[in-house]
Amino acid sequence: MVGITSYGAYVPLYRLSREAIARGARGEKAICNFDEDSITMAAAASIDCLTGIDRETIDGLYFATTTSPYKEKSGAAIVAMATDLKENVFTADFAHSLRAGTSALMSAIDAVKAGSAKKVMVTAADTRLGVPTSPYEQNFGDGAGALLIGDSNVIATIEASYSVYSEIMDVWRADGDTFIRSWEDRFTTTHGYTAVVGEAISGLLKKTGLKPGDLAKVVLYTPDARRSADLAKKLGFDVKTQLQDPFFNNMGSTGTALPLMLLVAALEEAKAGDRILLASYGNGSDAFVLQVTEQIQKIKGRRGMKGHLESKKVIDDYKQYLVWRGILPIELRKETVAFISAPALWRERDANLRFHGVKCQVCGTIQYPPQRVCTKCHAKDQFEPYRLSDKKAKIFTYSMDYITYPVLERPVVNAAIDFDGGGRTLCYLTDREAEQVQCGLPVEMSFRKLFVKDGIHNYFWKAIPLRT
Amino acid sequence: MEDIAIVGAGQSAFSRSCGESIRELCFEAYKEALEGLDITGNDIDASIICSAPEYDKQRSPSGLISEYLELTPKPTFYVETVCSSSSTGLRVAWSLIKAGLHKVVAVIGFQKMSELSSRDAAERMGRGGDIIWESPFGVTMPAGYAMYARAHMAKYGTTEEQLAKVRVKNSHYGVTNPKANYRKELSLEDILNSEVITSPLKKFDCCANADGSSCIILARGDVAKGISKTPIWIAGLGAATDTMSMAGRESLTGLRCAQEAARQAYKMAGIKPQDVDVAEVHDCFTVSEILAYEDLGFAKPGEGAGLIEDKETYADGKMPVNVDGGLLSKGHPIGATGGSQIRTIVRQLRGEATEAQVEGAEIGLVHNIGGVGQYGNVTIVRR
Repeated sequence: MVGITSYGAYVPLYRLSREAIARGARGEKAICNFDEDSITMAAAASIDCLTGIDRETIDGLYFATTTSPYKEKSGAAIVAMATDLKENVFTADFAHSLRAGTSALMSAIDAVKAGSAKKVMVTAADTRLGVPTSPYEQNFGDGAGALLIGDSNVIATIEASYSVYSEIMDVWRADGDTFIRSWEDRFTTTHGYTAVVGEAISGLLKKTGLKPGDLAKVVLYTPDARRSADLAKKLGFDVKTQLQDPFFNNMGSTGTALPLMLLVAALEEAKAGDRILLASYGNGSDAFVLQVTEQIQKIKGRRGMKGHLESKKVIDDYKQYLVWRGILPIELRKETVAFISAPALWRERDANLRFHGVKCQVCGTIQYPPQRVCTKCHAKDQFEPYRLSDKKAKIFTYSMDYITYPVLERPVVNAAIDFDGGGRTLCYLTDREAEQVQCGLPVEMSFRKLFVKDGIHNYFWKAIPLRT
Repeated sequence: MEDIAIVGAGQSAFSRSCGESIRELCFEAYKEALEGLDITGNDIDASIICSAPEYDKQRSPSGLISEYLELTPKPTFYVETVCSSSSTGLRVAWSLIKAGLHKVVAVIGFQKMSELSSRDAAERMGRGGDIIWESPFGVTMPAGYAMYARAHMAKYGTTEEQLAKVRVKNSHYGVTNPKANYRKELSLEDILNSEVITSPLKKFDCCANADGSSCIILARGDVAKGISKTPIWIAGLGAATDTMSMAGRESLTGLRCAQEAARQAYKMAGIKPQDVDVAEVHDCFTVSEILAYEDLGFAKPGEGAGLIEDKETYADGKMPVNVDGGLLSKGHPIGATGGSQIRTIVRQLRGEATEAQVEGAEIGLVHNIGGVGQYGNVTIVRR
């Protein structure tokens, strides 16, 4: 039986108080740090999803977003590298539509059903920008979700699906646009979201013979605080007991990622036998019915939606958000950054993106970056790759620099960290408060962007204080 | 072993006034080094030019400097170990004389840092670290030494106030050094309240970039006695290297390269740390001087701060250190620094110091570090 075998999510640490955007606006929206984007968030959600799972067993990764930092170049390959998947697997990018998350999900289900893959990772992330101070800016949040699709140890089987497509100009972003454009609400609600998602759900219920009351949970994409509730009510669901909370108050609408993230939240609360309805939106709608199995009890140790939503730092400085997103330039002079070289990035890709160090096969010493000579026993070329991205660490010593780059962060914290199990490296500490930095601070690794130069997004790993 | 001597030592004023080109800077030091010597340029058999590259546009500067000082057609070449380039140059000059190739060799160090914005200079300096694994994180020199400071504070309880006391001392002596860029006495409060650069290091915990040059002239013993009334003999040389990557180091509470270089130099000179009468140490940051006390054996590991607390490294203390104001007062034109330190010690041993003179100094030591604790150089000289 094909279905979901694991799940994971990522919500950035930072939340912007909506009051900071517009007086009287309620709640918070999740915002990624200046060094995060859809690729880094998708990597984080995928890694959360793979907790306790051998990464060698994954044979596909689909990445969905409308906000890839690249117009031409695969994001899925970068996510697969950060996730440390083997190289001979199928990767694909699903883009250009808010429905891309469920498009990827549908394709993964079909691939496993057809037998061309056994375990496919589906991950979706978005960091959409609304015009500053607009309702869109207030409504949007940043985040990522990940689902592993397979045919054994399934925690929720895919019972049925039903899709419709619909051509309408309701929300769009043309090539060259930074911000989302839209037609007025009166038109988009009536002829867009409500009509189209309604049609997909009605079609699915008719196809399966299920009635609204047969579903434990209804998971609906929503562009704002109340649209999904209005729709659920109209379709005969009990909003209070059946509709999955869209986390509008503490996260916002995360675009392509939202259906997957909300499904993760529903699965976190689900029990065996529950039927869940999932529906996306974006020039059409994909609707699915899932049924939760006994395996659900075995899923443990993920931060998921719950863990990530609880771990947060609220900021109320709107200017900071604008600077982080590059909307407000803070420096006229070009930032001095280290050189960037495509050959160097390519050559060091396993160390940079997979965060592979080496372990000496003679004495067991762990070193990062990878070396040819062991620092301890001086053995040569007797190393095996050693993944450090999933190891916890502690700060050995650090500096707090007020003059160096990136200028977006003051002070810049560089730390020498000692990994549990061995190995020491020097890296940035991000997502931190200057006051909390101290020797001995427990940290974990997070896939981030060092800097952008010549249109090259230079990804690498940084340490973050352990998210609790 | 005392068969090679320093016969001349000079330096330009260290400044940030941008007024001179690299060739003019080098001439200033060369001129002072030759003062009182019974030789001309024709008697110099080879010149070694030392600086860290990429601060000015000139590639292969040795040819240019050699031409300007009229040292052609004698051989000249370039030596580099970042901030300790001229100490390495001195080591090479010693070897050339020892090997019998030359009798008199000039070691000329220079750096012109004012051609770049401070930010670009910091970036060049940062690229003295591993450009694939470290400098892309924006690790600057202050950040590197701040990590040492933080680790030292965590392990030994060293305080920011103790770091500041190093600058109090060095600023006190800097006032008396006409070649120094900073000649203002600073109080503990001035230092502790200065702008944070890379915590725990504040503005006055850091030395400043500067333009400057130094020149040391070495000669074979028999020749030295003929051209100088007061040759200063090279008694011990030590040089060592630590990993470039900071994460690869055994310790971040002391500089292994300095400890090893000191061990070699003491052994060659046949002396102990307590035999040293006056020392110049590489105080690129206040913490660096405290690390130097420990790495050179003036204090036990973890007890370096006690020396400055007790004012033992003042001119009238047990172990006078940086009584010319140090890099903190003089400024740090990196390629010139080692030679400038040698010049101070030479003047001390000759009893010619116009700054605080340590009375009766017989044995002097120079500690010069390249990179963030990467290249360690210790030179011991005697009267």
